[in-house]
Amino acid sequence: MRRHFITHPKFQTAFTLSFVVGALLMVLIIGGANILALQMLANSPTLPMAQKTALAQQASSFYQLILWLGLLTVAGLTPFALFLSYKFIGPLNRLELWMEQNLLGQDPPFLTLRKKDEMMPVSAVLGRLLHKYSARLRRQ
Amino acid sequence: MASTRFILHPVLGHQRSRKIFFLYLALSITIGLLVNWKMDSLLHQAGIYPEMIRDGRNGLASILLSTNTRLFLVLFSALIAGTLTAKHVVGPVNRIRNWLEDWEKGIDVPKLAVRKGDKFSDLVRLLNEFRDKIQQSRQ
Repeated sequence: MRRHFITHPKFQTAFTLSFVVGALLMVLIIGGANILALQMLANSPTLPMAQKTALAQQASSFYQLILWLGLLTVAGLTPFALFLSYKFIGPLNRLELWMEQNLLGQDPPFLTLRKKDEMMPVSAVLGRLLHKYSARLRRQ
Repeated sequence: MASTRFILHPVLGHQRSRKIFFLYLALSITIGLLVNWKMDSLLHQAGIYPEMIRDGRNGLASILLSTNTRLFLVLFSALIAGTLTAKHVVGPVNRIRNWLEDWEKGIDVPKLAVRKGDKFSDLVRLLNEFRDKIQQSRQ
């Protein structure tokens, strides 16, 4: 069983950040549009004063909801994004090592990746190319 | 345009990023439903009814609270989030795969280039080394 979920810290941090920032952007875009509308209505000249006051009083609960949604998004998605990044980048180490062995002419066994691995199509084409040119690599 | 390429190609054209986009879409629908429900109940408590704000007299607020805008914001935010993630994930792998496939077809491929500090720089260095060795052996 694989134990290390962080194999490429730089990539995984960038991926996790972009994933969480993307989700936060959704909260900001949807929540921001509503906050803007709320502010405009609270200052609207077409609404009676009583309604505007009621709106302004209850607005804080709406801001709290946006804040909680943002916090929940960060807390809930960070581990998930980290796991996704691992699923994506995990086989890269093996692929690099395998490639190095091939270049040194060591003729390692064919690299097998899981069907769902992101690097699978790359490794399949690369495997065929290496097989095609293996004799030339060994000669050098 | 680079940004258009990211939206049209990796986000919707690649299986993994399509999955991530639909995940974001599900999340943005949930966020949209929650936020809009809270907003509507807040307006209702203040005695403000949809017909009072959607008659066009409240300018931008009427537009922001319309159903079309709400739907657009949900879709737009999911697309932005999906694009951000796809840019990190799918773009470089697709480029490497296309380069390898071109080589396999017999096309004379130039050196594979990545941006400085790219996470695939080690793999790309090895691939270029492989290409150089094969080219040298031909000569």
